[in-house]
Amino acid sequence: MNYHLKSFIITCTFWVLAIFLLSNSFVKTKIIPVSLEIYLDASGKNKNQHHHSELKGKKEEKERHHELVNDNEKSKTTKNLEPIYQPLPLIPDDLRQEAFNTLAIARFYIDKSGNVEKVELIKPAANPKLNHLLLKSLKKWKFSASNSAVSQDIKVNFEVK
Amino acid sequence: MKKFLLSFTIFILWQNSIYAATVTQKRDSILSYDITATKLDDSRNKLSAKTGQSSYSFSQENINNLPQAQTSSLNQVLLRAPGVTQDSFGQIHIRGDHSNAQYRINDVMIPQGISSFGQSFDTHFAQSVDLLRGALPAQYGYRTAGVVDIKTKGGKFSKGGRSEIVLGGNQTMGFNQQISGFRDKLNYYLNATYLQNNRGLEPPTAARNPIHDETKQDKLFGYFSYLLDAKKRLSLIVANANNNFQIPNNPNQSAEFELSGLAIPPSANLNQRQKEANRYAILALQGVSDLDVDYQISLFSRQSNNKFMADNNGDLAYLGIASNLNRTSLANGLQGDFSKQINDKNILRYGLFFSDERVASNKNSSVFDLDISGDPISTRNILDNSKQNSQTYGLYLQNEFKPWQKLTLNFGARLDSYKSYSNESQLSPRFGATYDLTSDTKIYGGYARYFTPPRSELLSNSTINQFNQTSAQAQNSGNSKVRVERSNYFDLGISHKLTKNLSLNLDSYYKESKNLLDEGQFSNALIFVPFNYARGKSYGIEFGADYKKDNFSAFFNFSAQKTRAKNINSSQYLFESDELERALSYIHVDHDQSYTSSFGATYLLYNTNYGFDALYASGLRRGFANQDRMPSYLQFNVSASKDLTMPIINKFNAKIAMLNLFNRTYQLHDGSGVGIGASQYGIRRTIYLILSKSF
Repeated sequence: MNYHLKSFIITCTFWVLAIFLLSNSFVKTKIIPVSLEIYLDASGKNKNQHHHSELKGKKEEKERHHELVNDNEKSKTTKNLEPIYQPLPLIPDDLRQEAFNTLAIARFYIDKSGNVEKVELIKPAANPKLNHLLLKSLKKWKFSASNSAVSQDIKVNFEVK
Repeated sequence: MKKFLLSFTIFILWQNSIYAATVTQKRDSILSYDITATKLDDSRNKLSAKTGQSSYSFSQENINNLPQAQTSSLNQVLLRAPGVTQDSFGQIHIRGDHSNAQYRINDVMIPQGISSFGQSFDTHFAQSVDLLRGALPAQYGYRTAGVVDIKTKGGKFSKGGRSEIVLGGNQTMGFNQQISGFRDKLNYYLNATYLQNNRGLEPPTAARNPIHDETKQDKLFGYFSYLLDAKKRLSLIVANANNNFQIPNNPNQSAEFELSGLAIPPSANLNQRQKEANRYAILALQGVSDLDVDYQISLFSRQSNNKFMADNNGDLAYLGIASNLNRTSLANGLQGDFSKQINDKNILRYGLFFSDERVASNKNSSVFDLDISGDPISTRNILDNSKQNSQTYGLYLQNEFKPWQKLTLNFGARLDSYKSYSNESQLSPRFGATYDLTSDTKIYGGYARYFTPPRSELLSNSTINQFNQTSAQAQNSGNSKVRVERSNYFDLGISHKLTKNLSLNLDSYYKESKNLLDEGQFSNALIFVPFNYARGKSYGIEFGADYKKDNFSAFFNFSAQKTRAKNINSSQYLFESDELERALSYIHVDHDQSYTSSFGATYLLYNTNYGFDALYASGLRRGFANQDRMPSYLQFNVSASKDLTMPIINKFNAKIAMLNLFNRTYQLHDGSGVGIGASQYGIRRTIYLILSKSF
């Protein structure tokens, strides 16, 4: 058989096999943008559990985070903290392409008078400049006053349309 | 090729085990906000947000719409931009400049290797490619004819991949595999390509199947980015490209010399070959400091090797010299870029650049000793080895000032120093302005003083006296050192959105140079040798139109330009005496092409994407002292692509493309002209089938 034809058949066989294996096991994760749902939790129990946790990318942390969210869903708290001032950053021209379909999750630590003591990105965007712009804006947020200090997570979707 | 394929398949199977576990995203109910922004103007021809000057952009969609889609070389993509001229061996010329293009990946400048980078990059790993031209701000130095700004895929937390196979005429066979993913804070993107065909270089004849013109190329590219914290990211780019070429033969040539006791091989059977390797690594730290300073600090290293293997007997008989050349270059350096928003109207940018390069050149030449009457006596070997270190330093400072909303001013300067065979430095002012006449119309302009050192990797301290009284004796003994080119560059343009679907752009430029740099091929090796003209002038005008609506998109570019220079004042030994004499007055440079145009369209009909594009060239220069012009040519290309579904493979994309639809025979060069080695013919009608599957 002609060398090139034989070579072609062998290589095609390898590629079909590889594509078959990949297409049957490769699952693309999608980050689904969540529609706006305001959820607040002012319970002390949750505050203590959240206070020192940072999303370090460990599986246990992720699981614990999901557990806490589910726990919170079950025990609706007594008081809602409304953000009364929530400036959002402008995406500069040179970052618009990077911001396309990007997601970040921020955690607020809010004192009794509704001021933001600290905000951190527990799930940052991939671009440090976007994260910096987001943090600068989020630090300026104000919430309504409450009986106790709380922590709260917020999801931010960057959408470029 | 089989070994590469086998090891690559094993790699894919290993990847399969990584992705076997599924990850599901819980739909939770935490507070959510959307930050929206309008897309940047997605027309191809627009103003760059970085420079305020003209920018021509190719998105991934634009690249996929090219006849060869992502299998196109980077230079093939750039030929669809205005003012870009096609030349042989994968070269391009931007606005009449020889090879003065700067390549950046994710804002880091890549030091250029010994071979043309257009063949070391493919476009598989590019998310977008922008060509920045004009009076560039101070952060861009050295290679300034155009900045090829490549943004890589990856950089976001997503998993995916793509497999591709290409088959086609001239025994073309190629594969590509891309994989991207993330683990915790680590993002990665990997790309591997293999390509072989029997038309690696433009052949000296019009034959459909050139003689001795095979190529085998493999390229690997990896991008890794690790988020150290929310405001700091470490990224690593590693790449390797190996290109092997056979030098195409011209049959039925007559030998110039006789070999005593040996038969002279037919010119169709010569076996000259060239191997090129380019490897580079870039480690970059990007972030924002507590003082609100944006920064990117990069360390880079580039190793390049070019090896030319002569056909010893054949080259001696036909050329009088058979040279085996091995050139290596290792460059290491540092680049730092910083910016800080001083207030609402001012952004300060500053930075530095340093590069140290060591080039070693080893040449072993066989030549004939000549007697007094010029007849060959005997053969002998001449060793011509050299090493050279070069350093390049640069500092810049610039301010972007927006006195009011419609006007943006960019002014600054850079200080550069180059130490090699010559030691030179320059303080280069830069100024640019953009004004929004209306919301749809912008005018822009600028001035830049440029400092362009010769490419260190091409310099060698050839001892030409060794070749006296041999068949390779230089025509004359002049060998002045190659100097830095210094130029004044002016640019003025207007950009207008005629309708929401149609954008127009008109741009003009004028450049005046001292020690204008050019490069020529003076041997069979695909290594260019730089030389200077004492004075040069280049000017031109470019028009671009870009239309996009629903399923239809089209583009049209046209440019008219002229580049002339006089008085060759370095590497004079490369030229004949009468050429040097003629060049004392202004002549066209060999890559000067008066008119260049590219246009094309794509239309999506019943889920099939139909496309065509065309390249027009009025012809490069030819003849004694570049006095004449090659004939013009127009090459049409068509393609059609569709998503299909098949058992086992499921959904995949099939594309069929035909280059040079009307099978027109045309030449890029005929072998005459200053610095032109051989005749080169353009591609004949060739069909490609590209199958790809995304994950």
